[in-house]
Amino acid sequence: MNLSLILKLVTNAAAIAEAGKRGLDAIRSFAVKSGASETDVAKAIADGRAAAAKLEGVADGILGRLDAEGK
Amino acid sequence: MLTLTRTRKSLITLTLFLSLSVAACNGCATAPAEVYVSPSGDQVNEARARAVKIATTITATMTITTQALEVADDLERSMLLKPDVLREMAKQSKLLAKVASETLDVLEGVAGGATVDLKNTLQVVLREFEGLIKLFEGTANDTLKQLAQAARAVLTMVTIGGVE
Repeated sequence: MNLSLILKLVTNAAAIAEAGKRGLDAIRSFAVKSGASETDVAKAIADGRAAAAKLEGVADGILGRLDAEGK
Repeated sequence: MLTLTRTRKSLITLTLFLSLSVAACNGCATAPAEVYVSPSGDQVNEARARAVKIATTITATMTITTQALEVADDLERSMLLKPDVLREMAKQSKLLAKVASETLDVLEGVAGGATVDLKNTLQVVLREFEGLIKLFEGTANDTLKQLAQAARAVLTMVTIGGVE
């Protein structure tokens, strides 16, 4: 395994941990009893849709590449 | 794939159940007829707060999966992961994204004041996420196994934080 790949993997692993932490912080910041506005919900849903769209895009890219390379 | 199909069926069943539940509740509330009892302000507020938590959980799972999928892509390019395994991961990721989008559709109803079983709604997504983690865990690659462990730890925390 080359050095650049190792660095990239470490960076990605750190990003995963960071994403998890950010998610938890966001979840904890919304205590159920404090309530939320319609705007809060709309923003959270928009963020979720953007993240889902990104995941789908990455997956499509991979499938496209594998097809193109005949793998 | 059988599990995934079941998950999809579960989502559809859940949606139907929620629709019927809402209809049934409305039916109770409207007896005697013509009287509609809307949820109280507190109930709507609480439902919205839960919806925000679930949407945030979905965002976190999508982000984590994207990162893990990019790592798997790098590994395959370096011939450290079999192409068919990467292909399966990509396919399951697409399915996860689709289920998440459908769940967000359900959550949008909450913003308008609809009451749904949010706990079950979230669990549909988390089950899908769990399936993907198992796929990563099942690979022979140590890096992906470690990533899967990290994702599972996050899943555990998110499940506790998101569902409670």
